[in-house]
Amino acid sequence: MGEHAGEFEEAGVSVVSVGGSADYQARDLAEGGHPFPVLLDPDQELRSAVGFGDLSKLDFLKPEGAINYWRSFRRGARQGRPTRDRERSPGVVILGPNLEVLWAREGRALGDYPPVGEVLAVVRRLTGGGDGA
Amino acid sequence: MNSGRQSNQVPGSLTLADHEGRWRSLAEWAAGRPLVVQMVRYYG
Repeated sequence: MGEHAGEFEEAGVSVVSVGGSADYQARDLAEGGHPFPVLLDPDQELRSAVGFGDLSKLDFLKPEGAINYWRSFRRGARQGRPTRDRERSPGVVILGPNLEVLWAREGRALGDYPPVGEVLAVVRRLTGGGDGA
Repeated sequence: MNSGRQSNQVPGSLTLADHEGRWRSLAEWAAGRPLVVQMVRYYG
C-alpha cells in the first residue's frame, strides 16, 4: 500500500501499519522508507477488537501463500527472525470516525492482502469520493 | 468485499506505540479522519 500513500492522502484518510511485538522489525520497516506509522500491538488488543485471529496450519500450506511469499522476496523482502506473531493473519481494516469497523478483509494465507485498488475504491466510497465500485 | 464486522467497535481507550515508543490512542493516530489499518502479519 505504501506506493499509494498519496492516493490515500488525497482520499482524506489516515493509514497505519500494525504489527506484533517485534519493535526492531517495525523500526527496520520504518527506517526503510515505509510511508505510514508502524505501530506495535503486542497483546493483540486491536486485532481482537476487530475480530482478526491466526492463520491455521492449513492456511500456511496454501499455494497462494507460497506465491505471495515469492513475490515479496522478488521485491526485496527477506525473512527476519521468527517471532511469536508469525501466525497472525494479514489483512486490512477501515475504521470510521468513532473507531467503528466499516470494512474489513482478513487474509487466509501468507501475504493475503486485498488489492490496493479495492481498498482505495472502498475508501473513496466511504468518504464520498466516488469511484467506489 | 465486506466481512460483516460493521458492529465491531474499537475501544477509544486503546493506545498503541510506534516503533519509537510514542504512545497514542488510536483516535489520535487517526487524526480525525477515517483510519485504514494494514495488519502486517510479520515484519521481516
